[in-house]
Amino acid sequence: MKKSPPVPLITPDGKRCDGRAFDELRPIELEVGVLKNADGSAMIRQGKNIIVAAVYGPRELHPKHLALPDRAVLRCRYHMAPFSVYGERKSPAPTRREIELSKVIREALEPAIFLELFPRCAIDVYIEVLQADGGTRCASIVAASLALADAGIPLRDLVAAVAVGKVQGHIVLDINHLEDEYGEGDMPVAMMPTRGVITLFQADGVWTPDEIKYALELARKGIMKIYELQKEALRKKYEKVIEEVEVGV
Amino acid sequence: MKSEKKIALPGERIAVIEEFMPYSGSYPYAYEEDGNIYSSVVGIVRKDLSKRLIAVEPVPKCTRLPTYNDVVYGQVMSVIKDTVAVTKILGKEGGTRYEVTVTGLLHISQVSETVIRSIYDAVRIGDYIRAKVISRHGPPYLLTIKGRDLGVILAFCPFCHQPLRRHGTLLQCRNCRLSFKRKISAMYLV
Repeated sequence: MKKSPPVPLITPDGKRCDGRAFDELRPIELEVGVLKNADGSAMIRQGKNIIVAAVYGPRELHPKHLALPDRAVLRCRYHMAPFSVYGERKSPAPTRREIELSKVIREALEPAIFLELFPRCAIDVYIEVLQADGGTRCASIVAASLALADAGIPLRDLVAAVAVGKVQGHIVLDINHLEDEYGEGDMPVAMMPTRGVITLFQADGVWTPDEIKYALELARKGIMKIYELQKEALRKKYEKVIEEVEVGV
Repeated sequence: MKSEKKIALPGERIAVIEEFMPYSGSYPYAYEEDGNIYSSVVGIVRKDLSKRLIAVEPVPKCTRLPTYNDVVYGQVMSVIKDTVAVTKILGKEGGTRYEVTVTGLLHISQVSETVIRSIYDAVRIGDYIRAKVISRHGPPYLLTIKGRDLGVILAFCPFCHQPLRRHGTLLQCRNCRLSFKRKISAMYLV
């Protein structure tokens, strides 16, 4: 039996433990081009989450036996910093969970990238979680897709993601760490928003078909909001760059 | 081409196929799907109203792999069967430097207009060369050093490792008083 949560997850006035409504996202800040050394980079702050993503490539892949003759290899590394979690320090070595999330994030990003344009090459995505507070895989996908766009890699669409959860029978959007740990279920969803293509869909807990339908619709609405923020972040950086180019000419 | 002030973002619809054809340059930065034309990068939309072409010029400044007709600088790493020099491309002319080098292949037929017996008469392992990319896809990229400005731009004496100096059509080591045969670029450094 799970321990009871330290604070009530749903308050009597119908709010969540951090004061949000059921269909409310945490405040999200996105910034593109935060790292100088990477080809492309982005940072996301979603509530207490702080995640940095860096992209390198396309570049030649070594060792060559890993290269594919018809498309690029996308390599993803999701890593949590030792100080990123509450409580005991996390070992910096990759855990089972981190290896799995790297794969899941890679598969969520792959359909959006024109990998077939870069045969025998590799595109590397490095995701560093500096502070974790639930929903990091979704936040990582949001940051990584911005970093890919910042690296100038051709994309079919940006990828946006959000986790929906089930807390005391209520379907809630963008769950935090407490709701993830003490809630009854969570469902991360990633989409290419303009196409409506789902690239990541996971769920744990028990969900009825109606709940899944409602949760997906809720996730879609959240993803559209995040997508608007992503576009705004890219415009913020590149409109400045274009003005400089035009003044130079 | 006429350009718009607005920037296009990845996945943004910039036209429909009845209006324009996506311009296919080295990479399809504007691509067609289901009758719509989308941008695949952050870029400036350029329209050619007479040819009805639409293109997206990418804005992010990042290292890009070489493309057809690019002039590149490289170092010869090894030679296969006296006919192919395996070169690591270090950078592109115009300032791009590759942190992770790209492989280029120089075949004996792409050294000069005349027949040469062995590729060792043109380049040797360790030489720095200025070459042009003649393949559209890669890596590995196919290179040529045919032309006045292309060829070896820096070579070292195999015995004393001093830079070789240009002496007529040969390269000479002043230390060892030896001459070496190369396909020398007109831009040879010393």
